[in-house]
Amino acid sequence: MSEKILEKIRHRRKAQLLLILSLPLAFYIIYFLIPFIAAVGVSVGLILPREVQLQRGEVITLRYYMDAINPIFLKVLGKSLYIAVATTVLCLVLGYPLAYYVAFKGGRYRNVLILLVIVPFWVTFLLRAYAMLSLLSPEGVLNSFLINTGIISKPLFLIYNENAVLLGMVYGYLPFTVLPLYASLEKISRVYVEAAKVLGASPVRAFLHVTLPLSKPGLVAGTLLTFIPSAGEFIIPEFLGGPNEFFVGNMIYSAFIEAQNWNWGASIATIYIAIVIAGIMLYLKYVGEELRI
Amino acid sequence: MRRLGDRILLAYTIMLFVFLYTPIVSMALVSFNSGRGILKWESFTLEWYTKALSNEKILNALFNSAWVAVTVTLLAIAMALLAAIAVGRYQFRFKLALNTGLFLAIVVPEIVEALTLMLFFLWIGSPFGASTVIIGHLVWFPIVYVVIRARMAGMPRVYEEAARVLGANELQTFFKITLPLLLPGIITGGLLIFTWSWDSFIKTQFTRGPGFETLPIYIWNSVGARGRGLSPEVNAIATLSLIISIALAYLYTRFRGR
Repeated sequence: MSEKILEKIRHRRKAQLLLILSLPLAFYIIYFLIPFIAAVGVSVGLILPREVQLQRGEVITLRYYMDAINPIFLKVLGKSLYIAVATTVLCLVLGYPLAYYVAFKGGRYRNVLILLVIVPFWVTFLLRAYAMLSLLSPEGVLNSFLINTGIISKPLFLIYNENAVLLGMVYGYLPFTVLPLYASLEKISRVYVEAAKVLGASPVRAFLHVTLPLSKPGLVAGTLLTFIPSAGEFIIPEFLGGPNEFFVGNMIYSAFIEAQNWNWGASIATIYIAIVIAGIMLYLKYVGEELRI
Repeated sequence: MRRLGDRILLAYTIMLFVFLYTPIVSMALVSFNSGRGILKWESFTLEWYTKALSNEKILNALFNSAWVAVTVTLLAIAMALLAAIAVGRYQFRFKLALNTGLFLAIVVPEIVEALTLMLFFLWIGSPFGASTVIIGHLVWFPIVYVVIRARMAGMPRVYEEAARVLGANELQTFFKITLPLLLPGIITGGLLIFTWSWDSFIKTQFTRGPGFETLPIYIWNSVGARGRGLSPEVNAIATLSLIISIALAYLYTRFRGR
């Protein structure tokens, strides 16, 4: 008798689960997973083949990849990875002391400081890039300030070079690094640091041997949150980089939005994703961290 | 010695905040300046705001941004709630895989999600427009899920059990007990996805139809390639959007603590 009731309950729960889960799961599969497969399909011409490919009678082809991998693309790819790594390192080095100060020395201003850290994180990336442009451009605020105060007589040309892009990238991504750093520093109990000091460690030593290792999850999360999007960044180079600063993100953008060459776009995007994923795996393996979710 | 170190750190922190805030503050200042060229400060004015807010294209973009963000927020909350209840209150085999998979949708770069979705819509021949943009933003619903799940994990089940023992059915228990307890999580998650949708440029650009503009798209189009179109009008509308973002950030910090 009780067996039967249990069985009935089990069936009911199963039906409920199916009802509850089907909508989000179906949405996720259709609009997140399948598009990835579709993109790979487009990159080999299985989906949305070009006219030329159809004339040749090819169902699947690696031609798009072979066309995409050329010296210009490799150069752009190298440059993008370089700028992403440089951005990530600079953000970590610059952001760590800030996160440290807010977490440990904020005192009664801590809540205000946290809000100051969070706000840039919430402001549209596009707007902040635009703000940087309106600050640095030849007709911009900085130049007009310097001219009006008589420090310079002609506007300085501060944008359209790699340094401007790097500055913009650091400005754009710093909040993405600082927030996870702060979150992990805040969790560290001061007791450990005090213990190290009581046992005779200098403040520097206590920091290097206690605080820094304990903040590793924040360093890893900050690295990933900065590196992953910055590798495909195209708004900052577009606004601050000028015609010579062209990155993978710009290439993907122009392949899709300007050239509307889906197969080319899909193949360079697939290569870019594969490299980024490989980079992340290598990094996680190197730092010995599991991707904790 | 220790005092000195702290002072240096304080000076550094202030410097970095100056770096983070100078561009947005100067952008806001320019929007209140009556000089047309941004070269010189003349006097305080709201002229650019009245100009921007009587520009039909800007109003249209503002309206589109708002209704898309509201729709996305409501639908995302519904889907995230369903997924969170399934994972938190039921047993099934691929739970861990589902959890990981949902997390992926948050960490994948926006441009990747945008282009894969664009190809998908091209493939199935779906016309591009407001609905494709909404679907694109909705793919971020896992951010709401993560927040609600975190709230659920720290929530004792005794309240729900008590309600059931006292005779409430499953739906009553959900609406009278579970939902109110989850509310802070729903609000913070909702604020997050609202902002993501409100701010989205890349996804919107890849999934919109030619005539459909949101605020970020309008700003991008009017700034133009290589930023030739700097204008106080754009600064005004950008500042307006900035104020909304800051308000949302403030609300977020208020609700996160609960």
